[in-house]
Amino acid sequence: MTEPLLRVENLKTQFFTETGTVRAVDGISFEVNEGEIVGLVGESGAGKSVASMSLMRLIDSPGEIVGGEITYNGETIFGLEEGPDGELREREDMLSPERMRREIRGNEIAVIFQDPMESLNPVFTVGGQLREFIELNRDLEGAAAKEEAIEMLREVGIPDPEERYEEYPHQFSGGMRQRVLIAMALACEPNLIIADEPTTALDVTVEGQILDLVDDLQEKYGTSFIWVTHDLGVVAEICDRVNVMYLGEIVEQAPVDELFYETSHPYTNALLNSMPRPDRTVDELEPIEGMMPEAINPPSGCRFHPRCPDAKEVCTRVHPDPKVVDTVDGDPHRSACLKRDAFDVGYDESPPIDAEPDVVAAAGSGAGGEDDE
Amino acid sequence: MSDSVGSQDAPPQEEERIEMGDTVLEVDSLKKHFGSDSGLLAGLEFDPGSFPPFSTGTDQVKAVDDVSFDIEKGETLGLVGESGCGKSTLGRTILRLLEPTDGSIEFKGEDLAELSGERLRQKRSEIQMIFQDPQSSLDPRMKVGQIVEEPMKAHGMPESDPEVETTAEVEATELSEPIEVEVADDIDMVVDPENEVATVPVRVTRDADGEITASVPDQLEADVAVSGEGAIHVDISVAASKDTLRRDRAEFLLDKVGLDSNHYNRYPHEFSGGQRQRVNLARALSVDPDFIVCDEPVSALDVSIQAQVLNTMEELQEEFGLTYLFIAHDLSVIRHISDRVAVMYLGHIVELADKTELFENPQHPYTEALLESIPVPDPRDEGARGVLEGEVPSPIDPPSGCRFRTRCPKLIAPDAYEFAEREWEATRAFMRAVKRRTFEPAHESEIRERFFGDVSPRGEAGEIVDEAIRLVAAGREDQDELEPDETREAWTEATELLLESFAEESICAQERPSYEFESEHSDETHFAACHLHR
Amino acid sequence: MSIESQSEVGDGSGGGTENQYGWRYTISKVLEDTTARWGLYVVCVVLFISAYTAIDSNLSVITFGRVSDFTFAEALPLLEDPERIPPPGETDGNQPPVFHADGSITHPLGTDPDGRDYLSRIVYGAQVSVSVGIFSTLIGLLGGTIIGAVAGYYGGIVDDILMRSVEIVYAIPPLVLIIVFTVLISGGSPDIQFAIVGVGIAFIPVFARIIRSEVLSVREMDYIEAARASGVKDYNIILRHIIPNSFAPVMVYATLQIGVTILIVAGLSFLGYGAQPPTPDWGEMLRVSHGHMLSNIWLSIWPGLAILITIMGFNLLGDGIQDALDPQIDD
Repeated sequence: MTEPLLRVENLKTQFFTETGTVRAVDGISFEVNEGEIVGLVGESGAGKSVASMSLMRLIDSPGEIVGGEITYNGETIFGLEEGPDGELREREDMLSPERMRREIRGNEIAVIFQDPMESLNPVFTVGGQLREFIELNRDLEGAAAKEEAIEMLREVGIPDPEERYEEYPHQFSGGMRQRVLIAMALACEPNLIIADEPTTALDVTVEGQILDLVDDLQEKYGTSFIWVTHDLGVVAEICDRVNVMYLGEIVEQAPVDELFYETSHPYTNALLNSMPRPDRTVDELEPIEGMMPEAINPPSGCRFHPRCPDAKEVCTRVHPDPKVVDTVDGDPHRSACLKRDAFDVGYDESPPIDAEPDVVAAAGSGAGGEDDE
Repeated sequence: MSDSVGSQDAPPQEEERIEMGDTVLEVDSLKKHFGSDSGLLAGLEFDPGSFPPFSTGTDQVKAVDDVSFDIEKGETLGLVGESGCGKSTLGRTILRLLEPTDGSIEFKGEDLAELSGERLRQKRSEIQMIFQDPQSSLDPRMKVGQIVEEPMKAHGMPESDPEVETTAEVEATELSEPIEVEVADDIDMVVDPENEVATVPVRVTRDADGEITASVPDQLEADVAVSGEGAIHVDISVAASKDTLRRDRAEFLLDKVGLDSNHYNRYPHEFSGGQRQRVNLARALSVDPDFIVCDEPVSALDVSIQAQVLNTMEELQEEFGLTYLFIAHDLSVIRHISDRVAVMYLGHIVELADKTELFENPQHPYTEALLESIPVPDPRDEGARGVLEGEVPSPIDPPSGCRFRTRCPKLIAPDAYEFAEREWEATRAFMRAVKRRTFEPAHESEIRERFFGDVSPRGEAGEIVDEAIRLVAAGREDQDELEPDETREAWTEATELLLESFAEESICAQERPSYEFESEHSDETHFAACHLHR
Repeated sequence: MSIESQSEVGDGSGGGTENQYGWRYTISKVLEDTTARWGLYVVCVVLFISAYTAIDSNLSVITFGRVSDFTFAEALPLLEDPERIPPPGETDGNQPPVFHADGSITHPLGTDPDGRDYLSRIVYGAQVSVSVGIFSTLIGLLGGTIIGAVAGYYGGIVDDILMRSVEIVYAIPPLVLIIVFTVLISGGSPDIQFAIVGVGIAFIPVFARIIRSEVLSVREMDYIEAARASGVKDYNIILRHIIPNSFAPVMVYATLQIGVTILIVAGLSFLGYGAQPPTPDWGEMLRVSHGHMLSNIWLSIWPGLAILITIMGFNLLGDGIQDALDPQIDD
């Protein structure tokens, strides 16, 4: 197999706050091949946005990438090695901040954010911002850049682009603004676009239009996407392969069809069962009990075990790293659940845990702490 | 509750007796228009082109425009639509948080639109609301207990109902003396009345010392006196203060909505979004309402938490016999929780039907488009998407007739011309493309090829199309090179020509559609505002 | 449902460990800030002195029926009755401070032209200045809060009428306004209490505008709408929701404002519209010293320093509270 466009290995990003270290991303590995759309799915607090920003090295203090390796197209975006004194230090072949900014961001990897209004400057015209972006990143000047900008606007389906080039962001609807951002992302013909919940703020009919547009553009330019979302519906529509995140970790990684039809991890399964369906009437939703714990103090063993319907005693002790449970058309299906045969830790023999006492105890201590105040 | 309302015009019996399945709310031709500006000098425009150079009068945003529907007790009516369609405005107008511009809101036989001042305020105990944003819907400076009790305090609850009679059910063990019981009038604040009678269970016993005692439920007290002839006299009254009773109810409700009564003394910031929505639920339930408007109550929550809250809402509905108007943009949620569904577009209800009927047999092109657009969590589902073109028009100047006609993929051909089906489809597509300027000026033949292919409208329609193509085509014979302004003018001219000749002539533009017919999947009638059903 | 409820309880502590809206949190934040802490120290000292002198003078009025016998002052050998003009020959007028060659330890800051002990006058002046600052700010705060909250909550025509009239007042230069108010209220014989009321009224517009803009944003909160939907009476909504939630920035402003009013009233006294002799007031003392600048500069320096330090104390404290209440800095 050819080398993937982007390879992430054991990436760890942490936030050092007053109350403790938040392990927002805790050892995730995945790959993005050329021309595919890879989904990064999870609920809020799962660490998916932090993971995607880490790929661009856009993590601000108090956050820091503390481990792992990110390789893009043969270049090392992030990598550590052990120095002579045993301290971890940045590897020499790691791209400098200057080269990151000049060569990678925008040119090779572009980002589309959730809120297009915040990404556009309200006091400049849409066309002006797009032209400036093109001038900065490509060898085009003045009229040529403007022509290119109009061409890009047309490309992303903005009607009457010459006219709208002169308009300000507030004169655009949400869907149109998102199109402008896509135009901006595409302007330098990057190989990879990170889309961070790009359709979450949009109405469902507009979302459909944008997904269509992305499909068309992807076919035309062969761009790869990392699609960050919480919506499994969108995942099913657009992604080729999916990573499901829970509390800073990837718990399941599979081709999209496999994920929905051969679901391996109980969390993915629970997510699917807790969703109301647009295509059929579900009489009783099965919510996931409890809520996601804080990443500051994750549960021992498998992080999902306090909420997992299949949790056994062994799950509280052994931490599972994703292992290949199946292979479909050359793509691995990885799962981090001790139930799977790939893990040989005695799940079947392990006694079931009575989830309740554990949970109640936690609740009691929490409540007690509050009352003491 | 009843004394405040009943004493005036409406007879009290009528509003008290609403059985399951009876109409509890009837909205008729409700309108809510907003002036687009407000203030002392609003509406005063400087207009140098006229004399005097000022003009008054503001544009009206027609957020809700002539909406009618009714809701039965115990059911959930889902109200779905995209942002800006007026669904939240409708919910707030029903609650009279906004002044209706016109129309009536019959609630239990009384028109809320007519009420004002103190009578409206008192009526509010019967209709409650749950808000979308779990952050801003709870006052950060109040404890959860205060938040839940506030509506009760506002309505002086708990309150004794003068129409409820009070009595006691005496259970005496090993006592031969006659027992006389006197029950205070206000014990219905503690004991739930049944058929207008509140009955207190009393147990009178003689304890080891020979003293006679009477035990009554919590919050009540019993005074026992033995008269000279040996008769036992028991006086039952409410022991707890109203504050205690309110606190009890608040704790009871917190428990009911899936929180803990220990949460009474916590502040909202100590809770997660899902828990905050539960506090919202408890607050709404505190005054024992019949009807709750839920404005996107779960759209700010994560999927798994969403399911928890939805389940709780369903349980509460069952237990308290609640009626919900459930406003949401998410069709999946609507499908899960509603009994009937109304679809709104640009201030109108375009379709209203039983849930199964609406989802399985949608009759309005907009509903169809919405349903097709939802991403289905199933990779093998080959649904179309991006089926709707263009954007929602401005509610200041909405399209005439059917408001969806400017985007409708099924716009009906005008009767004035003879169109074959394919000819009309091509013409319609061309008309919209010209209007939105989605293509570049090209040579006449290219345009014709692109939009019409092998069909060509005949007769008068054909002439109009030809003229329009000529106007927008590049490299026209009469001029070599057009200035940008002239191109723009030509496009505008072509757009006007096409719209006036075709779109405006269609029945969709001339009459507002409103049709009712039999449902396929239920007994209810199916309402669709589409002329395809003429 | 019970299991579900219990499992979520643990999260109760998750949202944030401290209540960002509680007073205790604000105070601890203020104390963390060094500048604010210094401001607080100064304010505390000034408050202590003025409380001490207030009790002292009132106590002597109660016990002896007159101000001249200063009960506590006598306990402290350094202090004397600030208003008593000593008979000729008892002390020299215009005596320089102690570190000066002609100074003496009995009058550490010297004496004024009438021979009164200057230290006593400065100390007792704190009482006047602080009460001026606090009371006139309170008048402005109260009036401004009522007008601003009502205008902001009801909006529309109520808002227009109230705020436009407030803006008219706002458009007049404050000092002119204050002098006119003071003269009108006092009916021609100015004194310090009229100055307090005058300054208070003149600052109502400022507070009204701040409160109103806060109320406008709080009014949009869903919990206000929730309270309305629950049938809570308007005045309860304003009192229980609107005002408590729009008060924080006003508190900051009010603290800063105390310093400003002290300065303005000192200015008024200087111009002769405030405290009248022999009341020991810093502004009034400045006015008197004005004529003796060349012979005894210290007469001007001491009250000037007192005003400077007091105002700086309140300003530092105000800034500190502002930082503590600002969530952006707090992160």
